[in-house]
Amino acid sequence: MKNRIKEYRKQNKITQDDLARAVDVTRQTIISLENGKYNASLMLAHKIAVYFKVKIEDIFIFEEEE
Amino acid sequence: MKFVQKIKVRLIMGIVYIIIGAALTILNIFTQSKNDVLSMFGAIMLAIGVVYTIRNIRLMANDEAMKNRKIYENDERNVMLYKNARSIAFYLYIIAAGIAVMTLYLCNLPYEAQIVAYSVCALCVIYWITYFILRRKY
Repeated sequence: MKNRIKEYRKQNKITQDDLARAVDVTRQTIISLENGKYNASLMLAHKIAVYFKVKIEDIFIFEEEE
Repeated sequence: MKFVQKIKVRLIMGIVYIIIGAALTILNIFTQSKNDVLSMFGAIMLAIGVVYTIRNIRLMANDEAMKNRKIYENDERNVMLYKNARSIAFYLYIIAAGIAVMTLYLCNLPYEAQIVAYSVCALCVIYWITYFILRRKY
């Protein structure tokens, strides 16, 4: 699953630490999400979408795995 | 359970460890039993208890540290890592125990091999019981 967290973060001029604190996760989790190493749970995806005031599908790009 | 309550429980556990550790150490000194295992176990319990208690007292006194700890422990990536590490440890133990059982039999140590084999059986039984309980729950 790809995501546009970094893009939205840069647009809103927010640091990884700020975002991490806002959605109650560690900065390492934000780094892993941005690098595509970790897929967020539905709950975290929702929190991030709410934080950026957008829909979940605007940030997270769902792709069916082969 | 709320995180603050969790920390309080851990604080109590730390104090219990200190009491048990101190009791074992004092018992070993006064009875002069020269039991190295008991002495070591007591010292380890005491050390763990002290570290545990100090850490939790600091957390209780500092709201920012408490919040950071809560985030760290509840972070979903960290939880996933704990679970994956436990799962891998379980499989590695089964493989290592299987190799150990065969090696012990080959070295003509059937009693020791049996103990290791029983430990694997016990783990598998616990795994299946837990699996069926969780399947009912979710």
